[in-house]
Amino acid sequence: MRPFLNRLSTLFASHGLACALLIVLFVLTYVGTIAQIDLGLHEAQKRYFDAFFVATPIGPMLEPFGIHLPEFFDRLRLPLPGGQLVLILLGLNLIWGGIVRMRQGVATAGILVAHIGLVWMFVAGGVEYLYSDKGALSVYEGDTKSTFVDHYAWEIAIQERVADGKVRELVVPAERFDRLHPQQKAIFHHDSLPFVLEVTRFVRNSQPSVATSATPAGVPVVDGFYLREIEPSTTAESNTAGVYVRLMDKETRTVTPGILWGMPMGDRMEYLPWTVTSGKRQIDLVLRKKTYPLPFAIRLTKFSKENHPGITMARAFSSKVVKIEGENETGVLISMNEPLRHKGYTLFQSSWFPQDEAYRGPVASVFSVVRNPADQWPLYSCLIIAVGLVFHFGRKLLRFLRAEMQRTAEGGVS
Amino acid sequence: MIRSLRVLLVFGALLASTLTAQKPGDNYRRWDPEVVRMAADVPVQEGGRVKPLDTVARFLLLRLNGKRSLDLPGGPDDKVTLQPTEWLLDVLFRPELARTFPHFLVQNSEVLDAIGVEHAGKNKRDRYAWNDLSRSIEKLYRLHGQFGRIDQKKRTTVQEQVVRLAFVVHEFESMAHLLDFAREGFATEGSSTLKTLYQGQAKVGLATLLGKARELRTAYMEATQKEGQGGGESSPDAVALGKVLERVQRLGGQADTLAFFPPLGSTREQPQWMTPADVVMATLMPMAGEQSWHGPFDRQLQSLGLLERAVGSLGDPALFAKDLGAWRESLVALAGERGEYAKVPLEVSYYRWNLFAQAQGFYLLSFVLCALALLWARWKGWHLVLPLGLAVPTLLVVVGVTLRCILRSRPPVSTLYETILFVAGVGTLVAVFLEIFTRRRTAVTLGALFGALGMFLASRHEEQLGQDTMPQLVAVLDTNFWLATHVTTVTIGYAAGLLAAAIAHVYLLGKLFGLRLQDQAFYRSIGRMLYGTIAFGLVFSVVGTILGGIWANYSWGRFWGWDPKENGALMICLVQTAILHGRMGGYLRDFGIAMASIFLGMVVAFSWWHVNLLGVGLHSYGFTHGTLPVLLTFYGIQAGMLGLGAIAWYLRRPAPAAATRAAADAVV
Repeated sequence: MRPFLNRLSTLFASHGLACALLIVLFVLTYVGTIAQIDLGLHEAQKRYFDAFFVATPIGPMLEPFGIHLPEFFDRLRLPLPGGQLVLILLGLNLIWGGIVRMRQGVATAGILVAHIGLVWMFVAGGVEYLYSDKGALSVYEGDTKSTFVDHYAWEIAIQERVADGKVRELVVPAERFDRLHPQQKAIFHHDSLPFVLEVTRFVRNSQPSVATSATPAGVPVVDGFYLREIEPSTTAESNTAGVYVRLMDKETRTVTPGILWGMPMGDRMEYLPWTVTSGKRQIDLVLRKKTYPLPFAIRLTKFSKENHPGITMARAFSSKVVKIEGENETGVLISMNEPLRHKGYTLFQSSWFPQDEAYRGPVASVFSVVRNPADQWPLYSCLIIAVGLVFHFGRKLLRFLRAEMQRTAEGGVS
Repeated sequence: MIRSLRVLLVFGALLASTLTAQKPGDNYRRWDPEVVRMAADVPVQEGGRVKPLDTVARFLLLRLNGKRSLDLPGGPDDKVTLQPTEWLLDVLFRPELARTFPHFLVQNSEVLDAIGVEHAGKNKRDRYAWNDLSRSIEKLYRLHGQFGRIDQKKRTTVQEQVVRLAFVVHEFESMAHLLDFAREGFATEGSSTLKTLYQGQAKVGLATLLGKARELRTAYMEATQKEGQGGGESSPDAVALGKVLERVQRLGGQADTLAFFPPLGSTREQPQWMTPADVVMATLMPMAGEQSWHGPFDRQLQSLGLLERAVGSLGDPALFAKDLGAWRESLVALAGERGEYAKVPLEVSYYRWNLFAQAQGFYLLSFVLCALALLWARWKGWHLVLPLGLAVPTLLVVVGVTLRCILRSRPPVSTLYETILFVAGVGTLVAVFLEIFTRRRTAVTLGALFGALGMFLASRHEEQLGQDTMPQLVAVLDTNFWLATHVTTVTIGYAAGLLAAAIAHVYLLGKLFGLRLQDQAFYRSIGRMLYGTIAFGLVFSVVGTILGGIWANYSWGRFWGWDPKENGALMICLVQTAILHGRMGGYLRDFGIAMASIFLGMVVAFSWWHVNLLGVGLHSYGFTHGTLPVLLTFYGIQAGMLGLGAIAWYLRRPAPAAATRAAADAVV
């Protein structure tokens, strides 16, 4: 057992493994970049970098160079370890070979420090991957918001107005039903609900259409409409999901089919609910982007966009907001490269709508919202890495220069 | 027989007409150099910034003509060469003459076939005058409308060139008509009101007319009211007034190409300058609530009047120079009050000095010196002359880049064009440094080639771009801190990667052709240079890439998004790290490092330029049209180099017995 462990330890500490993993990561990064042309960034990231294994088609690999391989190569796939596996192995190699088992002394001090910085950056990446929430918050001038929505993930919200104008909400995340096979269904109960919710089919990118004789067979039709499947966009956040649901009344056992479509509409771009009545109760069902609460609220006072003079290119855009926490209200200016950081959340000025230059109506500002416990860690790790590398290579450079000057002084020029 | 005679006659007539035809350069009257000097630094706001008219002329001519100057056939020396400002003076002040200039470069005669222009006797790629194209311009615009709707990536070459030609023809026409309002004047005939307002003058200029805009408008409204009360019958006065106002709007309205007139007030309150059309609109139709009809625009109107006067005195060169000078002075004063003129003369000088073209010449000279040093190798002075020879053009590049920083109030790199200058400058600076310490003449020779190639590519990119290389930046890039840190460091990483690839060429070609094979110290020295350059590059690439992540975290809320540009930077870091780990682990020696460095050069090219062509990601603000063929050529040459390296390895591999002995020696 011990010889095996020794061999394993040697392997994990070796430069050979480091080189191999660096090369694999290089290949993976290349194919993952090329894949973005067809898949878009989000999907390519999921398939190549957030995965343990990937089988990448060989056909498109040389297309950026104008070389179109025969169609046969599109079916051929090259198996590779995915980004997660490579990064975990590289992290282990870095810790074991680059820190624990590395010869320690002045000569390797800089490398050791740089490796520690790299490990910290890997950890920062892991913490961000596992524990961060990311999304967008769009708010019109004068409006207040205390939630933000995910860029990609969906959920069904079941809402009921209760006393004092408050709304009670139950949420079904889409990961519970977005991979159903055509014959499968997902059933959701809750004691407070007068019905059982059945989800029969989730469509990632869809458009409600009137059913005709040309409607594909086997597609559910509700009140003459069905969800037409659209090829998912390479810009994944612009996909509009749809879902078929059935509500079974717990008392009468009657079943009501419905379609929920996740397209915000109206002047204020809001998700419009499907309202069902059960006795005296009115319950709204909405398919929407996954929504996260903020521990404070934001009121947009004014959105400003400044163009470069005489052209329509934006020079700067910023939002005057009021941060509201209970009774406390604080004015804050959020602009490009100047986010608002508060209570672990960061709000970045991201965009605005509508972007029509001639439009003079109410404007909404869009913020990217991130909760990332490791927010500033990359900055610190960068400083550590820089110090380590500069120390190591600076020392080598000085030695090299000293040797060369000595050589030239001795007349060693040829 | 008769047929042959006819052919001969036609041929003779053609020959005679060719021999006797008037060429644009034959009677060309050059502008007074003082006029050209004054016109060059007339301030204009274009593309979101204030710049000299010379810069506008320079890039407009480049877009039309594909060159920074224009050669007119004819004249005493068989050709007359016009500089950009001279050319633009012709377009603005002598448009009829400019219409005879062959300044529209058509890359492919199929474009002319498509729009129906005769091109017999011309080359496939040739230049044409507006007069050559004039009959087909309507068709050109029609095709532009048709092809412009096709996604640019899906257009054929001819379709793309039709779209471009239509664009530049339109640009030329806009310039040529810019001063029409000043050429024609406005007749007062037929209107008693006009006669009274303008004290009986038969013709008045636009500025004079607009000087009484309030009275003019009131008179017109009264006249039209009377017309309404009188049963709809127009009085001659109302008709004449209406005609004049219609002409003012038409001629003034089309003068919207160049914003010459700075408004009053601070740059914060009134950032946008005014075109002649803006002055017309602001004077004739003041915004509701404004106290005065033309009060806030008095000085702009005066300036407009001076411009008109200059147009009117074209026939008298001395008077024209005086009037043009007065107009320029009025603009300089207005711009100066807003603090927007100070850098204009410096920009004119920057382009006049042409530092990067001069640097290219000096780099080539430095390379020639290196070749001479090979022939007279024993002269001791070379170790001083060669680094100095390379330092001169490097200094020119440094001065040029510094001037750009001053003009833009930006760090050295914020556009793709500037990355080329910076990469060349840093690469040669490192080469000078290497040469001072190694004195092997390798670094200096490579540095000279590297710099010359860099300047050539910068020039070609500027030609391809055909746009101001000091553009305004999109909002996310408008941060000098991150431009100075992330962009600069990552670009130094590019420079080091490419320089390493260049050094590797010397190593591999030396091995292949058996140069100084016995001189192990020579190859060890190149190996050390390679190692040093890669290590230098790694520090900047890693720090630059991480700084990019930190910037992204500040701007977009995520450190790493696997965006193509980020991935490209990561790929450079990975290759550099793999090379250094391979060296430390004993997997790569000097030969392997040289081969890997060639590959590193290809990866740098991919990351620097190629990822921008993929059409995905957040870093799509770089203009890269026409880059792919250059990149493919580069990859091809480098792949060929790798092949030659493999041959060199095969030829120079140690014999098995020697290898065993070497290994045994190493163990001992």
